[in-house]
Amino acid sequence: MSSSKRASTMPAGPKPPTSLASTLIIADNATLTGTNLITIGASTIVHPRTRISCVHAPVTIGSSCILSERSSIGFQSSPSGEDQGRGVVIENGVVVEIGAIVEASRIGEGSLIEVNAKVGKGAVLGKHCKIGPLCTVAEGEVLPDFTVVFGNGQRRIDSSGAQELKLKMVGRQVEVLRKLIPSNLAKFQ
Amino acid sequence: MSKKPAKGEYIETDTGNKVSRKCQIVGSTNIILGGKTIIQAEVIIRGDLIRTLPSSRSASSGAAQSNVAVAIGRYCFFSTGSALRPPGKLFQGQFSHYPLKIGDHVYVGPSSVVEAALIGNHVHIGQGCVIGKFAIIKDFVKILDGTIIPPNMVIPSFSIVGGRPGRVVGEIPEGGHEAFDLRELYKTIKNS
Amino acid sequence: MDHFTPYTYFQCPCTDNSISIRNIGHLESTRADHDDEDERTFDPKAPRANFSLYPLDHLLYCEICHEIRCPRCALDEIVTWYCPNCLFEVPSSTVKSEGNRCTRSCFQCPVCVAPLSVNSEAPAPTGLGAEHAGPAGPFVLSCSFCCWSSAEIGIKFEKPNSIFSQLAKIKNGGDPILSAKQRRLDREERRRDFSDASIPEDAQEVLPLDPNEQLDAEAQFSNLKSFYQSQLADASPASALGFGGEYGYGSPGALTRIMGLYTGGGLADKRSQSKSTPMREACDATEGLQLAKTNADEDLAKLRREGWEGTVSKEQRCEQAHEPHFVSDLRPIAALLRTKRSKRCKSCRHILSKPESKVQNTRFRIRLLAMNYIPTITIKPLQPVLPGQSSLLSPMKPTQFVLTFKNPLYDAVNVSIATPSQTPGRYSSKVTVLCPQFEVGAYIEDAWDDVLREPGEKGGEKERRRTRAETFEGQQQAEAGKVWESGRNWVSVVVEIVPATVGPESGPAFLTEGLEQDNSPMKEDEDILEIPVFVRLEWETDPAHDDGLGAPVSKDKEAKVKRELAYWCVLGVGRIAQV
Repeated sequence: MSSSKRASTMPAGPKPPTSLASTLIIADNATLTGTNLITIGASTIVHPRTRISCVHAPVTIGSSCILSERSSIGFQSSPSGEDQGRGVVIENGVVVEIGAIVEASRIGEGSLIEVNAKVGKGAVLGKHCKIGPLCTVAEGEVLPDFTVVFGNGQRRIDSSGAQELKLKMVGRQVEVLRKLIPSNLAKFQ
Repeated sequence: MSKKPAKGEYIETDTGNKVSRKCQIVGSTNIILGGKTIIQAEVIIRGDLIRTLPSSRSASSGAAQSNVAVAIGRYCFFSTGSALRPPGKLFQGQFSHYPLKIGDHVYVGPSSVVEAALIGNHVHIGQGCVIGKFAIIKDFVKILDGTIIPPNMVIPSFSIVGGRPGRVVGEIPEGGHEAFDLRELYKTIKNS
Repeated sequence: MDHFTPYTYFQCPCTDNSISIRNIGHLESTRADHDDEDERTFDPKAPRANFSLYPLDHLLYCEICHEIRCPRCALDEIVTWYCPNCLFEVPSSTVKSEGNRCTRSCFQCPVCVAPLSVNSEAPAPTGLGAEHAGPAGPFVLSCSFCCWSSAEIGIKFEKPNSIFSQLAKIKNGGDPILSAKQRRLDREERRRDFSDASIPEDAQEVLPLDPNEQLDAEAQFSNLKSFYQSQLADASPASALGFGGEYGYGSPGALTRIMGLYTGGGLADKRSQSKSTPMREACDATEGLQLAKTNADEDLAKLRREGWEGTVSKEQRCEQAHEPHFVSDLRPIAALLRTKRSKRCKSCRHILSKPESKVQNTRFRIRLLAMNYIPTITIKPLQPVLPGQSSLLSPMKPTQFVLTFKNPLYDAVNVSIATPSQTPGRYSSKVTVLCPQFEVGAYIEDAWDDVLREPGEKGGEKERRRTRAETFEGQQQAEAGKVWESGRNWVSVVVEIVPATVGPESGPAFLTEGLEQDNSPMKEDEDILEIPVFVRLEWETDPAHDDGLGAPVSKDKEAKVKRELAYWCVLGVGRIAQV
């Protein structure tokens, strides 16, 4: 946390190496910090005040993702094992809501990380998972596809079959946000 | 963001709003403040997420009113680190954000996140709460610390709500109405 | 972490103090009850005390009885029923016939109790004119909190509105349910068939309806109900003529008969007893008989197959009407209606509070709050706790607190307060009120008051303060017998407290007389220092404006009436640091 805070007060620091898709929308006052590679795919939205940290490990984000304000993506401390060397990998169509902390090794396609949720370091989430508001996933935990974590940490498997609709909705949301959020891609390249 | 605020911590407007210099307001042209409202440091208000889907009414009454993303009444108090964001949903195949309307005497506790559609008058939202998308909170409602209001929930007047997900756990007693008044709290915020 | 907000609770005088409440739950205590009722100290830690203590904002005041009224001595009357979700006002007749749940489309998730919303399963229409096309079915109820969907229990709806009536016709899995009405029609049809063919009643088994049919709880209830209704009607044909009540209990004859059956004839006279003929019990599914399942193999197999996740939790089960075992048996919970209630005084029936009947209106027509009739009492430490300093009270160290009385009445009030010198209970602290008697000035409704105070708030307030503080400026020492501070309608007095030593090892600091040493482990919140205070108010009032509470009416001074009010309060002062 402290590293990203410091970074926000000195925006003139060295830019991290990035590989950003040209259709990426990244708000002017999002912060990217660190020295490892940050890869972000096409049509992804990075809201203002989002913090992506590659200080300890690289960050890879797929396409059509939405990263909301005050969320923080990337390891907050150095990786503790070989398998964590790839850093944080977020697949396509993932939505990270306000204030969520994502340190997972992998977030499966179409997953939703709700407001102020926390996904611990090295956790692996399957596809179409939902981590509810204020819920936590422990370090290194592995969740199968369609897992829903809600309430005070209760878990269930979502068998409603509404995943396609939800992915479609994320797509539509991305289309709208593209128009609303001014992008400053050049600042981060 | 300046390291040391030159004058006071707050910028005071003509209508008595006190807005912290350290708050993080985006799209301020789409935000209405009713007056005497306090916005503390590190509060995020997303005025940029305006309604993109033209409402059936605005076709006749003009586009001006549809640009308001966040409308806030008088004597509201947004504590440090809270966030206000207009909710968004898919309607008839199109995604759009919808305005977030907040009445008078609404207190939002530290680091709470509000994505409601409507918050009435005299509402107290505790610390670390999450108010889900399109929630409707009526007048004289108290939301206990750490509560999660699920999306689309309607909370009737005089409710005390707590839990994850939030449910009505009590009623505001007849004599408890005055405690929602935030005029005294407004006076305690001095610009120094 | 040790955050503690001082509080004041008021004991409603309706509490019966004649029973000793101290010894409840302490069987070993054999203390002789020698003190008189008047002298007995109220013990806030007694198990029963919780039921009579209220914060001031919960209390009402009856202007006829001149007494405080608490939720226990006020009668509730329902003004309006409404659904908390759609805020639709439900007429009480509908509540009577349909029950106390919303019959529109308001449901709660059976898994997590969050509200369910109706969503279309089909993808939204796209292309030209899409915004004018309504959403296409089928529809499901889905929870946006835990992602549960009615599709998981095999229920889908044809239209997006009136889900309640649609759900009433579908079983989990999608099979239709016969409604009560359909059932009745069905039964009547069968009965007509009997009469036409003049088949004796015991030949029911001939009918194609399966007598061992598995019924859900509602169907079973409706079958049982109609069976007993017909039995009652057959048993007393006279009362059958005047069938008013739904259950057939409406007639006095039927009631006496039932009373006779269940009291063994104790209540019923011989004549009516001789009249009653024994009733047959239900004997198959069409009459509502369901045999308990003796073979649970199917459930066991399901349990093995679905495991822990497939079973319901205790909380989920409690919300359901039929106590299901498996998640697949859960049904959406229709929203429970809420009420707006008015309150009446139990002894004089005078209305104490009455809300506007409209659901959305938050105003009250009548609201007689105790806080407008008795002084508010606030307590705070004399020396403010500095940030970072522990807010815990140090044992055996005298600490002073300021007790402020604020008068809401238009008359000056004489206040006398009394506290026991040692607080009751195991850990007994010493309490001394430095000024137990004082007068609090009248509340004057002055429009200028607020305006004047706002800019020079410090000035006005401080001036008053200085007059008091002058004598002991700088030394912060309260003087016995003198008021600490006072304003127009408020007075502060100082209370000195010597907290007891609290802890598992240390014995009670001040052993209460006669009470044997109790070495049991400390109970929850036993380390909170609570002081019982007996407050007695005396004032003279003009009866006209006392009742009206409006603008003061000038009247003859002779018309003044003396009033008196006395009650116990409990001051929660703080937590005592443990040794």
